[in-house]
Amino acid sequence: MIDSAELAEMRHQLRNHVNNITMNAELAKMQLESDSSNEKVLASVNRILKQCQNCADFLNTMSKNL
Amino acid sequence: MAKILIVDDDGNFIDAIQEIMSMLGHSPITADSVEQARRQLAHSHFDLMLLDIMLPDGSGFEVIDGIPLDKRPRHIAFVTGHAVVKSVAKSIAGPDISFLLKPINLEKIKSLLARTVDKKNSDENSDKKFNLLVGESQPMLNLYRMIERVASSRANVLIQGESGTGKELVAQAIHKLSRCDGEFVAANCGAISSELIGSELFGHEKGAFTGAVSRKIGLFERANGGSLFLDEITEMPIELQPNLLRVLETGKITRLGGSKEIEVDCRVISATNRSSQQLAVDQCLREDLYFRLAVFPINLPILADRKSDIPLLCNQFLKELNEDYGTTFQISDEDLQRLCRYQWPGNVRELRHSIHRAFILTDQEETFLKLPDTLGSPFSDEPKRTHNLSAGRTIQDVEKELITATLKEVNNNKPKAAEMLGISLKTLYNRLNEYSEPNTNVEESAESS
Repeated sequence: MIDSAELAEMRHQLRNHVNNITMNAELAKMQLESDSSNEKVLASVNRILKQCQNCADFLNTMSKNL
Repeated sequence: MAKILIVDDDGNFIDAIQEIMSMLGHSPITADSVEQARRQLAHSHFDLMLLDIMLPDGSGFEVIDGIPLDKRPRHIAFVTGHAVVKSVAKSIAGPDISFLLKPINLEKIKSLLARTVDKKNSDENSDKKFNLLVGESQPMLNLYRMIERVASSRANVLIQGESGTGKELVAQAIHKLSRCDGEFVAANCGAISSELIGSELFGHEKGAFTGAVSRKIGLFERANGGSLFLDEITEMPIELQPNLLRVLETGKITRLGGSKEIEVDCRVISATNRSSQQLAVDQCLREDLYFRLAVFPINLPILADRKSDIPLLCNQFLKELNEDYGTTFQISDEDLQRLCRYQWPGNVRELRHSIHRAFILTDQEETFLKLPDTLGSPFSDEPKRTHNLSAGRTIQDVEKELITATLKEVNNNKPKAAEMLGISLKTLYNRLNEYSEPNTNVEESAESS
């Protein structure tokens, strides 16, 4: 059984991953609108993908522990 | 462009927001711990600080706690995932902070930056210290230091200064710099009748007295969590002062006609135009109340003691008038020198009045403000007349001065002067003979016609 402190910590971590995805998506959008180099846009998109993978890993770990 | 400090230990977040802010034309610097943040804050003045609450070596509140008042960023925003943190953070860090709730999108960032830049522009367009006070002279620099010191405490303050020296502005500055979320409530004790002063200060319940048709919240309650400015405190009748003393000692008030004690937490800033010496001689303030009110006394300099500020003040007043009326008047160097030579017994208020008057009198097509031929007001001579009535002079001296002034007033009409002075004509002649040179008797018969 997960206690409320653990649940709060999980929410905190998930929110941080979602926040990083949002921020990097906004950044990629700005980079595209400002004609930044492909490398820069690609770096932002890669960070989004990495954060999505982190979210998926985190949810898997959570499922195993439930 | 705003200078921004981002304090967060999440590297991914820092990289993204730093780049976004740079692309928006601002200048971000990062710190990933309390210690690093403190180091950055000690060296630079930031327009905005984005602050994570949980840091590896402490909390964001510790970063705020360690900031000297003069290094506090113009705006502080906590980055948090929980809306509930808001009320807790406000109670700890003060009301002048905001929050960026995760997930943060571009719209939230732009809105926060717009507010920061607005505040920065408004601060930079003002030549006033704390957006309120004008002056760079040593007495004013000392005053600013004292304001900053006392603002960081909750001590009661007694501001002493001549009329027109800016006591209420100093009170506002102390309130502004204090990190409190209550209001600044001002009242003039000299303008409240003694019958109403209790009701004004403490409020009253419905039916407390004839005419109390509804409940009234008093000044102390209105200032709860903020500052109560009591101007002309020495004009409060001495028999009513124990009521004020009780609130200052207990932090509790009872509305007139009420039975419940209400806790109030406000800083009392009081002001008087009497000097410390006058306070002692005139006995207009109870000694016990003085010690409660004057935990931190501040004396304001008269304008004559900071004449180097006169050009700054003149230009500031003229700038405000020009902005209000869409004009572009200037003050000539010659007139500024003239203004600097005058003694300004009415202090900054008299200077402001003179500039305003000159502004109205100057023709629209003129470039320079036209000052009147003579500076001063009907009250300008008043201090000079009463100034000599100080300890150390003899009664004979003062009597002679009074007789001379009265004779001057009635064009040397001695019977009239004797009547005004409340003495017989014979006594007046006797006195005049005493004052005159030997062998130059003032003739009663010839003069009294």
